[in-house]
Amino acid sequence: MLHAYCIRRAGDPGPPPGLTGVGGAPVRLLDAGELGMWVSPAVAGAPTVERLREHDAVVRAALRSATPLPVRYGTAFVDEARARERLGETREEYRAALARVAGRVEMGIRVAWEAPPPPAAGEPVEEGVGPGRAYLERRRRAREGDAALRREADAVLREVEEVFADLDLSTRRRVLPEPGVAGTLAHLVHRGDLGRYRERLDRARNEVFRVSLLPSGPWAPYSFV
Amino acid sequence: MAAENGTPPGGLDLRLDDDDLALWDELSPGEEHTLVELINRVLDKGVVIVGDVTLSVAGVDLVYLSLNALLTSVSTARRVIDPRIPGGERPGEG
Repeated sequence: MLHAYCIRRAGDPGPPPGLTGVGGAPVRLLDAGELGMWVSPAVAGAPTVERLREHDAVVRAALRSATPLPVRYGTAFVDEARARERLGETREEYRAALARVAGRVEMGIRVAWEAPPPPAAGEPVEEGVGPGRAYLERRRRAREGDAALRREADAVLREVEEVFADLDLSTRRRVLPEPGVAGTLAHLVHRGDLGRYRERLDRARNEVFRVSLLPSGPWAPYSFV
Repeated sequence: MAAENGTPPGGLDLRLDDDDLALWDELSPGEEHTLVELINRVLDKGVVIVGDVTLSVAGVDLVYLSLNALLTSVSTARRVIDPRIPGGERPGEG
């Protein structure tokens, strides 16, 4: 069984000698015509945090020399022939994706905030209203509160996005993914723009209030494939 | 500026050196935040190839237990970074 890490173009540098991946298994290049894939012998066992780190470490090693398509953790092939077959079936899409991400890396920003309290949460329902009406009224206010919160989160995220607007990058965003977070942004940035990206990040910290920006990266383009 | 297909000027795929990768360690708020980002990406994003074997359900359950523990840690980590942000549940979220 072969565990797969990422997809490369033919001609991209192979794994550095001695590179190991999940479970300490040695990583090698599987060549498949115009494409390649970094693989290692699959090691049995549950996907522990350590193994997820090991997987990303291999993807990160590939990222150093040329932007790969990262493969989601957990794909294994019976043998090289099957792996080549699968790659061959979708090779046009992979080639197009590789062209889209070439020369770029992914940067992440988690926009943490102290969420504004829901509007009019504490006002009592009008006196004399029956229990059914009162229930419906509370539900209506809750829905309005949710919609208002979403509008606030969207507005805050747009303020952050605006700071990066003049850079040539692609964005993926998620609104309200979890408590305490207005949203997450993934940016696909040209390698040569990383310096300017960092300046923008500092500027966003100074200019956008009510939020804490939690950056991460560079990553392979997980969010853009 | 870069050509439309994303290739940097000169057509070279500029290498990321240790400095580039290390650049972000000083900006990252800490281990736990980066770990949550890593797990989200490696498990939930990236290319899905139809392989011969994929993650077992039991395997995924185990990891989500770990993820819940980590999300609690991120809340704690955020309070340390920015004391203005309170921990605990907030109305209207989730």
